[in-house]
Amino acid sequence: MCRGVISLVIIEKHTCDIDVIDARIILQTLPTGFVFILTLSGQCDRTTTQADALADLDPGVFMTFEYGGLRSFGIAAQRENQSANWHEVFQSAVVVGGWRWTFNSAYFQGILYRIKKVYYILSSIATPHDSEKLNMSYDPHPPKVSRRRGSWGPAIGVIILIILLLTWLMVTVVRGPSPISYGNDQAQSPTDLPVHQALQQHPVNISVPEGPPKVLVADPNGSGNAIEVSCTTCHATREPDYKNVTSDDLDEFHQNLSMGHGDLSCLSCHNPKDYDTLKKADGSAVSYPNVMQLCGQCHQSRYNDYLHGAHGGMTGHWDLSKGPRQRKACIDCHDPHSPAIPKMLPQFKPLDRFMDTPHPSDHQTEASHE
Amino acid sequence: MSQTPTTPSHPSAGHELEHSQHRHMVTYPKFLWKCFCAATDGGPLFYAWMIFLTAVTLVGLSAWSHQITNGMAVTGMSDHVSWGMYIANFTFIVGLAAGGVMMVIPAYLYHDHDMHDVVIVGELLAIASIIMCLLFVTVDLGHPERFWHLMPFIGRFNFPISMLTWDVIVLNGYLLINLHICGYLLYTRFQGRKPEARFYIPVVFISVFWAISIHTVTAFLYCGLGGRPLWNSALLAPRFLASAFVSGPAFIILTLYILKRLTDLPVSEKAIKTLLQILRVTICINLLMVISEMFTEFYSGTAHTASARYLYFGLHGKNALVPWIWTAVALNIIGAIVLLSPGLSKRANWIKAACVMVFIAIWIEKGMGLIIPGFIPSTLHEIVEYTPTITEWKITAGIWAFGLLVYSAALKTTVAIIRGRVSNQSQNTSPQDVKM
Amino acid sequence: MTPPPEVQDNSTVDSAGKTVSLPVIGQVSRRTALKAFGATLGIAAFGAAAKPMLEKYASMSPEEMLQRHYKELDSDERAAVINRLQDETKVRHGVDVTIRDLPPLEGVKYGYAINLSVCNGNGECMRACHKENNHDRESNQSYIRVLEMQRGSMDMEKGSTTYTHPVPDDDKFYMPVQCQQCDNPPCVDVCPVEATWKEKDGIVVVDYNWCIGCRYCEAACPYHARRFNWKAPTVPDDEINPDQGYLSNRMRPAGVMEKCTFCLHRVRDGRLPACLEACPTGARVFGNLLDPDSEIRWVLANKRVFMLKEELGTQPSFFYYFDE
Repeated sequence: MCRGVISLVIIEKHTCDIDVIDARIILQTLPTGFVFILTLSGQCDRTTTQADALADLDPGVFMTFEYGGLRSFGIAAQRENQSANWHEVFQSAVVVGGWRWTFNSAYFQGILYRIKKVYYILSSIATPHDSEKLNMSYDPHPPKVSRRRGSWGPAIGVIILIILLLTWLMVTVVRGPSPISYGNDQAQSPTDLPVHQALQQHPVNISVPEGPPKVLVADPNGSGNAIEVSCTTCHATREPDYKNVTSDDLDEFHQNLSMGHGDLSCLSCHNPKDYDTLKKADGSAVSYPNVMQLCGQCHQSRYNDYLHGAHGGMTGHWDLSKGPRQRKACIDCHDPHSPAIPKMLPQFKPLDRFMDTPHPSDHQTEASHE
Repeated sequence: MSQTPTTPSHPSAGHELEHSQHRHMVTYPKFLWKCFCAATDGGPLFYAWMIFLTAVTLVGLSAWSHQITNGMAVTGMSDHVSWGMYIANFTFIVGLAAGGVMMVIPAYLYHDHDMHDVVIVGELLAIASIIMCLLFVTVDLGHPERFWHLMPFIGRFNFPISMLTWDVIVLNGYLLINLHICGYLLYTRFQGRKPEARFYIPVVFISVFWAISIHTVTAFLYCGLGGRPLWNSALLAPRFLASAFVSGPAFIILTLYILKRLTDLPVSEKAIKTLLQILRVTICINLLMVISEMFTEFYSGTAHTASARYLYFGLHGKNALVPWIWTAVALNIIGAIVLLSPGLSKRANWIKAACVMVFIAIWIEKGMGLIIPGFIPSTLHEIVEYTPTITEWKITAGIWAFGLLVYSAALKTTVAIIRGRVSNQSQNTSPQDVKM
Repeated sequence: MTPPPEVQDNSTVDSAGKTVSLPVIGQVSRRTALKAFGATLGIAAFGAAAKPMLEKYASMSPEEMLQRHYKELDSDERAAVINRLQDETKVRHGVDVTIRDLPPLEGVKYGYAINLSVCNGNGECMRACHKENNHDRESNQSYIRVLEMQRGSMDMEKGSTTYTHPVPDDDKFYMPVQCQQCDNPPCVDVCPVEATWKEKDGIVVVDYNWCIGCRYCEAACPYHARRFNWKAPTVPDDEINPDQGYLSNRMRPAGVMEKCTFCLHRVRDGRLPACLEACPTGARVFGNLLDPDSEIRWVLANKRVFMLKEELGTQPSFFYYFDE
């Protein structure tokens, strides 16, 4: 019989649907010594079958490894466990760093016996009969040593390395993709997982602008009260001028208003029939608190985003079963007369250790030096 | 302070029968004690050298103490360059440890007799280097007192997913293997009997492959990181091995010259010649690999070359590493020319100079020249440079000094045992015998 | 410290051994005496050098030194640890804090998306993160970095984080980067001691009392999402956020890693992350990826979404999109 000491059997469940008899046939062809069986199988009972098959062939050691419930491999098997099912086998399992090492009482005895045996085989291979020939000798003319015998050592080393590498490959490289994916396809939604259900719904409070605005007409008087008037106070007596587009066109009031909302003119949105309301494109009036309807008629896609929570800031709870959520309205962030968010000065910058003092367009200035 | 190559357990089975087991109980402690005596005894030069190393070690210890008390903020590292001098030296010294095996291969695989006399020098270098490696990793930790978290069964050892756990295994394994080989050989010689092949030859063969594994695994630490394009190269592990087999033999050649001069260890010219032959081949392989890496980076010119550009030419006006790496390139090339030229490579002084040059070149190239640019630019392409602080220099010097201390003490003991001054029979060591 | 004088001491001893004849008989005895003297000096110097370190470790309680991994603690032990940490904060800062250890919610996996058409790089998210998570005040630390990117390019090489001009610049767009809570997190894989792991709700957390501080995760992370406590963070006592989570924003010790946890102490309570609430432009969307009716799912289904460095196979739970 061949004197190989370590054999490796890899069984891929998907390509090789092995049963007990196959396992026996394979194992009977192997030389004595360590037998590593790596089973790429998600099914534990399959591996048990192989362990059972092994029990007939090799008394002495039983050891099974399982990683992450997906891959498992065993090193030989013991007769006592022939009838044991998978869970019984694992009764004495120790979990170490994600690996589950299982062994029964005979494991330590067995492994010691194995180590001893392998050691003797190794040393008898590596050592010629005259053990002194390979000594660290200071004799200036030592006898020549047969090279053929000595060359077994590297072969054994290579096998050990290959096994280590394969183990590593098994565990670190052959990792499947994440079982969960989130695509447009609703069918792909992970329905097998229990989805967090909202038990008690809290409201989503959208901030509502106050009613028709008041206009401050003068500095606070002696008593400290500001003098405010509503729009209709003045506009009721004036004819609407449809030609007014910007505040520059005005000579009496609203001159400081900066207007930067596309090509819109004042009366695109303000209702000339009732200045305390707003006007949709179809001419119907909208109250000030419902201003979002007015915005939404042009900025439809933004409005749609907003309705789905993909636009506009919010605070509070993402989980409405735990508490309410407050949402901002359009005009909380956007000035309706000049809706672009004005430029801001970044106030908060990281001051990492050894980071250069920040200065504008860092890379560009340096690039120009090159 | 003194380190003696020891082996934790001694197999007592075999031809030496039961009475020998009883004998070991007496002989082994005696062996350890005599090794200790031999390692701490010597001439003025030896004392001066050891005191110097002890002092530097203590400076390093004091700096480490400072670092632990005040946090890693005393180093030059940042969230952008999160590994610095320590890991750079660690990487280099793993190579030094692996390089020691370049004496084992000719000695045991090809039964080169001249190597047999000095092979233990390489094995002791491996021991000292691994001790330094472990120290460099330890000082790099933010919480070294939590080292027990890394122990299998006691802590939570993330094996086999984390490559660092592989490194822990292979480094400690390599240390034990070499301690066993050196300890066993010295102990048998101390007893005045022949070493039994079966107790160490299999281990020697394992050590050859283990040496390759320590450096391969160390390379995998880096090349497995997809977010760091400079490291994420299949060539990294072979490059590590090639450069290890340059720096290791270069250091051993220098050691052998020193031993030849200061001690009575019989160092044959043939051993040095064999090492030189190895060096001539590996230095070319290493240069070839550096060139092919540079070609791939610069010819393709993809966005991933930023790190290499920073290293060799500087990026956005930041060029801290440029002088270093070109020094390394120059030293490497000059060293290669000296070693390969038929005339110069026959002169001992040129050989020594070339060895020093390639040693420094590899230290730069594989240490700071590999670890630091991996972080520059950062994964968000920010450029934050790294300069080691004085604390880091002190700790680094301290660890090197400690490693050399271990190496010197071990060599001292080994020479004494091999020359028969320390043995089971001898009554005492007489300092007059010792040249160094 | 002491070591430099140590050199002097020992060398004088050595030279003394050469020149001064000590009152001992015979070469060997004198050598032995000298050696003993040198060894004593060496040990004394060793003790002096290691003293600050030893004192620091001596001041640590055995419970702190020997605390086991978060996952190995039962509920009583966790309560004891949390009490200890609350007491520590009380002693050190004089502040009463509540450290909670909220478990992951069933059926929840968090997802985050940022609208790059809207984000204007004002950096208020960084400020909110900074305050919420009790970050170091000196370094303006936060878990977020906002990149100013060249329009028409995804090349970060052309980006900058140090801009200080008024934003937005017309030629730029702005991309905040924080932990992407990857489904295949390289940082978790590389940790040698399992001090960082992915929770059931997708959040990658760190056990600050288990991390050994090797910073391998920081090297492995392709998003610069991890931060190391180079020293213990300094936070003025009155600015400490008392609502703390064991796995998130409690006061961190020096020498451990930390990272964005989507404000775990808030989101597991049903609340929105601090960075989202602070965003003045409303560019951020957060929600449960497993809930088909959630906002985040609507974004994934209806917007053209991309993931940062998708080619690295990290499978982030963090998404970016443009409106047009």
